[in-house]
Amino acid sequence: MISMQKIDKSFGNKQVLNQISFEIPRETIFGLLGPSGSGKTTIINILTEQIAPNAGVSRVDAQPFEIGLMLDDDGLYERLTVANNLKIFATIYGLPNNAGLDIARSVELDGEMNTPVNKLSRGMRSRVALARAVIHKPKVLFLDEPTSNLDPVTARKIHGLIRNLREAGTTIFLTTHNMQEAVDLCDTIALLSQGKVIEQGDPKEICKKHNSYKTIPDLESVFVNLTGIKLD
Amino acid sequence: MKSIKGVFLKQLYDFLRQPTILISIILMPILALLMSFIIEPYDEGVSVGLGVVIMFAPMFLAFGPISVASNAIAEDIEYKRLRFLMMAGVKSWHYLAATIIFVMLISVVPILIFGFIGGFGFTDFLIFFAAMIFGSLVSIIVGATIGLISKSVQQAGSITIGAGMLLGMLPMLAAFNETFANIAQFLFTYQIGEIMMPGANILRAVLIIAANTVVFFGLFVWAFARQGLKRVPACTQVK
Ligand SMILES: Nc1ncnc2c1ncn2[C@@H]1O[C@H](COP(=O)(O)OP(=O)(O)OP(=O)(O)O)[C@@H](O)[C@H]1O
Ligand SMILES: [Mg+2]
Repeated sequence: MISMQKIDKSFGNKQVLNQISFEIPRETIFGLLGPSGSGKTTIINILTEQIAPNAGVSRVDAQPFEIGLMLDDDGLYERLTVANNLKIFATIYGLPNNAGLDIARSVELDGEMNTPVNKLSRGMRSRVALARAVIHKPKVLFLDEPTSNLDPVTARKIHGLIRNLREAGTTIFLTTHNMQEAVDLCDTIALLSQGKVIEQGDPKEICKKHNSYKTIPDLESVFVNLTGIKLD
Repeated sequence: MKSIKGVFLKQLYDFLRQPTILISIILMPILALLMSFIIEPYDEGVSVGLGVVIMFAPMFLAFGPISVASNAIAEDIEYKRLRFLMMAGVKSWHYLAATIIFVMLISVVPILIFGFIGGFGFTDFLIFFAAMIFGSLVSIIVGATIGLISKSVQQAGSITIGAGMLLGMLPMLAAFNETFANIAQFLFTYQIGEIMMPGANILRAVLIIAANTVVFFGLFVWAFARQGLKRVPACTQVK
């Protein structure tokens, strides 16, 4: 559904991605893990054809309008209400009038429909960005750190929503630096460090393989063992 | 069509929530209306209403449509919002067409107010209306060009004020100073006022307006060809 083969990317003389390869089957949740600056956002930019790699092949089996996107730079219209932000995209996708309210309900924002985006809390704002990304029921969904800066309760709500989307047939690609999130949520993961994929597969299997399966799978210590890098 | 409608809605909602931009559209017709009540008749050939319109209509063209267009485009580029539209299937020309159509439509109300103040007869009104609609289009093209070349909303604002001064103040000052008049006569904003003067040289005015259109449209095409809508990655800052 989504794949990269031997992708290289440099900015100037700085190599950011080095021979990145992975394969994501449809209707699964894939997590790309790595510390800040390891190249996660760059991989999303390549997959969504915003930047070209220097070498290698990337593929997403979906038309642009079948893709949903949620980025750090959420691109929401700040002065406009939640309802109007959603209405604009519902119009572009040719969705019925109630599409905005329906999707807002699924992220529990139906009470904030008439609030301008710049008056929302960070967590609420993230949920608006997520709602916009999935309003057209995309086949493929890219989420760049969807839960960073969110409180655990809101994060859990978003996890629930992501799982529901998978059940409904969406293939989900997400990035995170939260190891526990990866173990709880993802079907497969890839660990990224200094532009290379250093491990990939089922997160629980990875933990077992590296003898870090205590009471809970401890991906964090696997990562630290493999890279020597401690995550915040 | 869906794309154009969606972008149109965005520009409409955003316009209604930005008082400063709203003012740039309604300020000149309101000032003109006030002036038409205040000013005493001063010239045999030109009525107060017409005199006021000739003074303020170019100012409207210079500050109104330009500001709305440049602000909207510069902001969408600066805040990296276009990427989401493009992913949803909106093409650059959809975005630009919707924005131009929107600013055109909101310019109609001020133009009608000017038409009312001017107290035109039927034929003169039609000529005035056509000239102003065309003038608004040129003004929007100038604004869109500014939006495309600006790095930020703030920069777009400064350039817009500069352009507005040139296009709006010169024709106004032309009445008082010959040097200004000599330069101003080559601006479409000045010639649109001229057209309404009794005994105006219509052919010359139309030619100058056409030349302005060619120049500004050329600049717009250049600005678009240079960077397009900057569909660059909404990528991370270099750390
Ligand atoms: N347009 C660009 N020009 C130059 N360098 C860039 C550009 N985009 C990214 N980089 C560099 O590439 C590296 C990887 O960046 P990227 O944004 O992909 O990391 P990330 O894993 O998403 O980090 P974070 O977790 O902080 O979001 C960084 O060192 C960054 O400075
Ligand atoms: Mg990133």
